[in-house]
Amino acid sequence: MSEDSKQLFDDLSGQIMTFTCSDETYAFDIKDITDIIEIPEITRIPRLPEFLLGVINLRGQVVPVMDFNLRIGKPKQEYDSKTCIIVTERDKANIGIIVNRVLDVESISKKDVIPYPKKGSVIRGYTERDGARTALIDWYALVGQERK
Amino acid sequence: MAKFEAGMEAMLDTFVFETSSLLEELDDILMRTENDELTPDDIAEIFRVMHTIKGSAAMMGLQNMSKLAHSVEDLFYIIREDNSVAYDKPAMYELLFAASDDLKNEIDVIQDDSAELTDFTELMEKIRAFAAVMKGEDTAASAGGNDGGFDLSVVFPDDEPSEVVTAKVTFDAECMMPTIRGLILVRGLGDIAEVCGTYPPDLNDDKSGDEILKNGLFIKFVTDDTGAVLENLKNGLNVVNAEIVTKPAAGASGGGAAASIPEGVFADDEPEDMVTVKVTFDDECMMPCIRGMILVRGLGDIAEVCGTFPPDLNDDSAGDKILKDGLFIKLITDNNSAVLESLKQGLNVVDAAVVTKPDKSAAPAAPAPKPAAPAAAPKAEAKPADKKPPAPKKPAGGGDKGSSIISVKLEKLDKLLDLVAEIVITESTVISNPDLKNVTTNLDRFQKSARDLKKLTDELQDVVMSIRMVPVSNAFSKMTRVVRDMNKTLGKGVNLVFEGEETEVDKSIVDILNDPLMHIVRNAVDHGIEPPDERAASGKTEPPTVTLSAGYDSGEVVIACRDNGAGMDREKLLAKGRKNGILTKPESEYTDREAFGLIMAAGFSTNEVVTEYSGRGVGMDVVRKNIESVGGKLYVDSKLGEGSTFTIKIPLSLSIIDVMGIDVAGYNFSVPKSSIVELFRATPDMLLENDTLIMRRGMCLPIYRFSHVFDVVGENKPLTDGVILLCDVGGKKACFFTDRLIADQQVVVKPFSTLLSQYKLKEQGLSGCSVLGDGSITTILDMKEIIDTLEEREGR
Repeated sequence: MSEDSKQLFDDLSGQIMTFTCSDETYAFDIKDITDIIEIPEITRIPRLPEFLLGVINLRGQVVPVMDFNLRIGKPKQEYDSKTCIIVTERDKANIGIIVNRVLDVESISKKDVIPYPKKGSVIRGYTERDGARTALIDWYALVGQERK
Repeated sequence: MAKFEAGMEAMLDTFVFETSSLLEELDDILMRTENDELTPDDIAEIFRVMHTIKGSAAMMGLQNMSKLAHSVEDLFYIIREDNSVAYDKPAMYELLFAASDDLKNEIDVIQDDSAELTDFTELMEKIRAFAAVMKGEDTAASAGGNDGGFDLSVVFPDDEPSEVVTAKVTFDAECMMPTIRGLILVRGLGDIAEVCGTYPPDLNDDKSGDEILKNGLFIKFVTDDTGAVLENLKNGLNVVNAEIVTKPAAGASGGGAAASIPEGVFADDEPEDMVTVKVTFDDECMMPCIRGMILVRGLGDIAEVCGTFPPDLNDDSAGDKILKDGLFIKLITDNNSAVLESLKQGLNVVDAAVVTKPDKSAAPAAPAPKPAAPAAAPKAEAKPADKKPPAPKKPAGGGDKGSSIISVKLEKLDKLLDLVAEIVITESTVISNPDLKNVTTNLDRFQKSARDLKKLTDELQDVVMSIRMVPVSNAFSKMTRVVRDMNKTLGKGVNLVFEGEETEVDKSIVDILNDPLMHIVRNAVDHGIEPPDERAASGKTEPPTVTLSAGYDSGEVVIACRDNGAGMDREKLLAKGRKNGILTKPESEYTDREAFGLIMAAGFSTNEVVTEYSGRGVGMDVVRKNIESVGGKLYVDSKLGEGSTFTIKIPLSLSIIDVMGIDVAGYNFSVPKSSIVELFRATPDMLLENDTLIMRRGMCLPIYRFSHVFDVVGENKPLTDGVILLCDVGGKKACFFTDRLIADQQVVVKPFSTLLSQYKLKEQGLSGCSVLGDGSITTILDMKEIIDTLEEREGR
């Protein structure tokens, strides 16, 4: 593995939380997650891209919400009892991400991460375990911010 | 080099706040006493303010501020000691105001990374020269007295280093204030000798005066040129004689290598790995104790400090010892050179070197070292009065006047306000929880508790809101100074009167008011009030007055500045407007208010002559824009020959706004009430041009559907079925159609998450959002942006 890509995973905490969307498995770094909640009433805001559904009131804080399926260009799926919002936070900015189903918390080691070859993708790398593949999400790419 | 001592950044806020309030206090006193008597209390207060600033500036490592404050402190020291001293009061006040202004500017400078610290030498020289004149005047000379049967040995402490020379100065008997003469002599030696102390030790004590007259004044100092010192002393006023005296017989003082290390530095039982470092400060060092403490703290990471000598750095007298002998720091470390490096970088530090324990046999004069090292300080040396006057009795520390008041950062209050708002919302979701509807038991007791809770949370919210309120007098009192300065230069003798200055407004509003008020008051004094001769010619007998008033009017704060000056000439204003080409309609159509409003247009100044204070033509339009930017308004009224009034109206709080909630195809929007003129239902005969224009109040206005403005799919009901909002923002009017009104409410505006800023919502007329009482969220509209965007879209 190149020096560059090693550095890329330096910020990983070693634990990830996996979830499914459109039958694929994805994961957030556990330290980016502040809450997992049911979907409350979402207040729509005009002039936002389709995948940004609006904002929710999270204990008095106004938090934007995106639909993960729509964000990665998949068709919208009906929300059911397993659908929930993963609230993530970096640099004091919160955003909720609607996913089909939260799976589990797993330990990973940085050296097991296979970097994603293309830039600009919301996926930064893969881990493989027992033949099952999990895609690690790049939070900054997901929310369209410059990495700090 | 950094502007202030490393590690003091954390203190910067406190320092800035404390020093600013002290300087305001100083200005208050100066303003009050300028044309009044300066009472001993005032003098003591000014002295205390300057002393505190000196101390805290020195702690921050801001030598220039510290020294300037010191020079003023010295000046007031003289006045405090001798209230009868004659001085030129107006000249002194000029100096004091200048010093106060300079210090205030410097506070801005230290917060601005790009600005350099200012050199105050010139002003300091002036103050010193002034102080010298003052001292020179309190003379009354006569013949001298001499000492009789005085035990010289009290003058010489046992442990005095050998290079300290003692001079005895004899004053003549008529000398009025021997203590002050003594202090002046001591200070006069500043350049040629390092004075370590005097006997009697406390020259502030009146009793010392008699002692000096009787026994003479003993000055202890270290110098390279004893002859020059004696010469200098002999030239002093009232001085009869000055001579070098030596310690009577008692014992030769220790010499040799160890001479510069005072006794008590080394203990017998010192561990071998302990290193002693001697740090020497330069003479300019203002607060050696504090510098020492900072150095010791700075060593935290690289060495373990076991003790210092002098042992107690909190003791004021330790400072003089440090200046004299140097500061000895005892420490254990792995890295001597790192320690020395760190010490040498300290402010005012001349040198830092490791010293070793002197061979006891080589220093015979040193009496048997006392045990326990740090505790064994030399016998309390006669408390030295060093170059600067001793600290005043009052504790230093800005807040001792109003100890029942604490200062809190505004952010913390904002956070508190947020939390309280959340509690109120949570409370209402608990009390009106839908689950309660399914409960079959009697809820009477629950309902009672719920009511109590609601009452308490409401009260809590009111209290938190009121914390942010401050009286407008904070902004007003700054104007006293402005008017005073202008009276000096313009000679108009204007009185400034306050009305309703106890009116409370949000802190952020007071901050915003400062600049506009200053401009308006300057204008009133400079343009409004006529020169005295003109005033007399027009038969005005009442004194020229500028009145600042404050009050509430229907949810707004009204601040007015009224003058009884010449007033404005409508015709002149219109003529000038025509000349400058800023008239937008025929002159005859201008109302009085519109005509006077011309002076707030860009590039308009009626004063032909540009003065120091006004007439550059940029003033009023900037003021108006500043006020409008926070949702306020500025009006001008005037009557020729009777004076003008400038009125500022600002909403009570900037964070809470009144809005009208509307429903647009399921979107919950809120329109600020300040932009709504009226709400009405349209009738078919009002609509023109295929429903794009509407007639109302004799105007023909464009009409838009909110659903089209934001491209959301709406019901497309006929325009006569919903509600029309007539909006007016800065003179631009338009009508908007909405399906339904929801509520009339007050909201706290929260900006959108930074993650949404990439979608430029603000630029499209969405200024933020707000959580409502029932927990739902509404989007706040900015009607100005919306109307501007629509006009642009239509190319108008």
